[in-house]
Amino acid sequence: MSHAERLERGYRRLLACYPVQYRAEYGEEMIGVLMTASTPRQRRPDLREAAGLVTAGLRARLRLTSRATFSPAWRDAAAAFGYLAAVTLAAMAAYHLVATLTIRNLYGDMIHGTSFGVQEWATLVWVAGWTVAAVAAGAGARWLGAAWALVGTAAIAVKFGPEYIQSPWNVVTYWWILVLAVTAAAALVTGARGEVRPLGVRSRVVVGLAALLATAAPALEAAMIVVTPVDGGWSETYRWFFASMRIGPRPVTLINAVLVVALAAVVLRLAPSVRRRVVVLALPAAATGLVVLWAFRDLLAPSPPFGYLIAPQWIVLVAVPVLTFALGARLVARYERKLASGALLA
Amino acid sequence: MSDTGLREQAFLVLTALAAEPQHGYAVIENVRDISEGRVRLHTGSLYAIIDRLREMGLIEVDREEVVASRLRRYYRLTGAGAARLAEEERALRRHADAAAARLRRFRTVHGGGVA
Repeated sequence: MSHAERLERGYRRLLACYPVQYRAEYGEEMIGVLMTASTPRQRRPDLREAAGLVTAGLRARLRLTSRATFSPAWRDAAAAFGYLAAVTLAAMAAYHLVATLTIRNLYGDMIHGTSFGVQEWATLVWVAGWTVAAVAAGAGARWLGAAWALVGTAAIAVKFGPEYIQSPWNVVTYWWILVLAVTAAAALVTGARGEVRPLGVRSRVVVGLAALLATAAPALEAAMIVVTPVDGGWSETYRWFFASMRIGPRPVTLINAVLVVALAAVVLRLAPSVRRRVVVLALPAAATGLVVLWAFRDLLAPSPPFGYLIAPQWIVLVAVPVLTFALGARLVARYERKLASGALLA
Repeated sequence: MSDTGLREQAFLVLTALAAEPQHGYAVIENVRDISEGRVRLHTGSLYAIIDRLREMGLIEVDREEVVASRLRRYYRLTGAGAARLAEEERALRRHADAAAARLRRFRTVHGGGVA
């Protein structure tokens, strides 16, 4: 291999720092300039040129990524996802609040600790934060929605954070909710201004009503069940557990299914380019939930081994949402490039 | 540079192309000459500037040639590019005039050269 060939190969390797579109547009031309600027017996890329290519390549990548992030399709998808996730998060917290209050109403005389503690207050702020965020986002007040989404996210952290000391596995179980909240808050911050264009009024109302129904489920079921005195053999703790079990299944599951179906129906009605991105935005929370079920199953067992999370586990919890979003966004970009070039239309 | 925000390197690239359409390597050489050796563009910076100026519609591709099996693309100034360069030139001149006037006054008050 000649000096020139070796040098050219070195420069081509450095050009890999640039995005593929950039290389397609300027790559050969840049190689021409770099080779013209080289000295006759030069075998390796000049250090200054190499540093410049790496820096400029990474900046080009960053620029392309930020441009893609703030493209109209992403901003529309972020606004739609922000609204849908806000409604879901508000419904989840409201459901637990209504369930707790219903259980206390039914079995309050059998259980201790009926006072309203920090966690209950955090749940209230969680409900309030995400409800206001959903209403504001639905009405087109994006910044108000984003601000309350941040309040709601902080409330989730306050609710689950202290549990880490007593029950680290509980925090792991609910980690996906925090991921969903962070994604939704980020989506509301970066989403399109004004009314949530991709979601029609009917879609917003359908999702809102389904969420209300899911929220009211525990109270509805409480009206249906018959309260049977618990055997004297149950301890206070088990009575609470028993009550929780009684309030949970059947109609509640059905009503939650209604919310899931409503969300799915609304997402399916979105324009394909927005729908793809909404799915990518939902990926971090979904992937985190699945990874926790699979990789942390020992922690989630009925009698988990007690112990705080170690560094690799924290890395997994943080890396999974980030990487799945990056991968999803990349796949969408690649798929749409292929669509644009007609490869999939043929 | 001026309020409109063209950086010095982009200004020098526009200035180089104002003379005639040029390919990348010629622009690097030209910028070095215009700045009397003070600004030495490396290839990565040059193409970042070219990409941005093309996006802004200030320069465009004039023609392409293949020389010694290598692609050589020539760029030229557009009408908008010439207008923008003129605007930058006027702004620089205003700033230079203001600096010169104030320096004259300074020398009058303090009597002599600038320390």
